[in-house]
Amino acid sequence: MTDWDAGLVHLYETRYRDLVRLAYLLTGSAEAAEELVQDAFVAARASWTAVREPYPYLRTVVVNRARSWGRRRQLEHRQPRPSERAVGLDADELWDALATLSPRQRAAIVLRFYEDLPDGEIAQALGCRKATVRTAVHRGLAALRQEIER
Amino acid sequence: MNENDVRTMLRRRAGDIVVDPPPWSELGTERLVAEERRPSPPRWLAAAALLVTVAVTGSLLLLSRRSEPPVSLQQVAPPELPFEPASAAPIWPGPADVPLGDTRLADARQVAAAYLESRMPRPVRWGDGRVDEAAGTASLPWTRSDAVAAGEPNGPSYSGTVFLRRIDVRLAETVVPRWHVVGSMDDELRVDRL
Repeated sequence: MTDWDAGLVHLYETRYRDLVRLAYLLTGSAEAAEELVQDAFVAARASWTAVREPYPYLRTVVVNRARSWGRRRQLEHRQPRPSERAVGLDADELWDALATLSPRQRAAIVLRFYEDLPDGEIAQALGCRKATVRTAVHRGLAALRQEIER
Repeated sequence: MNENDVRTMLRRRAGDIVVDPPPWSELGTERLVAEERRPSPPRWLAAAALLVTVAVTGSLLLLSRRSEPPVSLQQVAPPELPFEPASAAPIWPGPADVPLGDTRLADARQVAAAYLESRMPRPVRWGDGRVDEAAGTASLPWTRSDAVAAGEPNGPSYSGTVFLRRIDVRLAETVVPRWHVVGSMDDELRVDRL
């Protein structure tokens, strides 16, 4: 095993759970979260030698894959009802409301309030400008409030 | 509902799930083997796909000569390319109008910018990236968001990285450094999955 391979394995052993939890918050599906993170690690092997900041890199891959997953799911299901989303978990109004956000808004909310990332790092992960992050967080929170008050 | 409610809910939900990672050895073999053994499409399908690609690319080239519309981002190389940046062969011959000894070819950032401009006429935003002169390798990240520029904050944005390798060239009695693009990857644009 090469040094860089060992570095990736170490990251897998120490941060896999963190990434799965992040992916779960981004997708709402524990099964999809594990799949996305495992795929991200497998894919990371191909470009690992060029990666400068391993964890932020993997986090960005997971966020992007989760957003793609979310977009596909939106196309397939067109906003499932809360009763469909809360299978296996206690009813949670705010969690259900999170599922109504766009993939980008959801990612911005999760990265801000769960990962506690600053605007700059969220912008880097989402591939957008800081102003766009602020807008996504602001509109995401407004949408959550609106959904809960409904 | 305030921000603390969101924070509390997210932490609680994240703690709800039980994560049991499979051993790396299983992940590194089963999934990779599965990827490698994924059945390839029939040859006629590959030929048809090639024909369609050629037709679409030709159409885009014709259109670009007329009004210079944005080139499809799908022409960018897909992410996760299986290459080793330190030894991979160049994938781009370099800017056509720049002579071999030109100093611009000795600057990784200028070569990367020329490469991306040759594929996407619209400008991108370059990140800091890394240029390792000693190792002779460079990875330069970029982002681009048409949708944001158009006032649509929830639209798609794109980001990627251009990988380069420095190969010294002997010209007469001198050796001049020259950067070559050896790879390009992107986290969003998976042509094979669209």
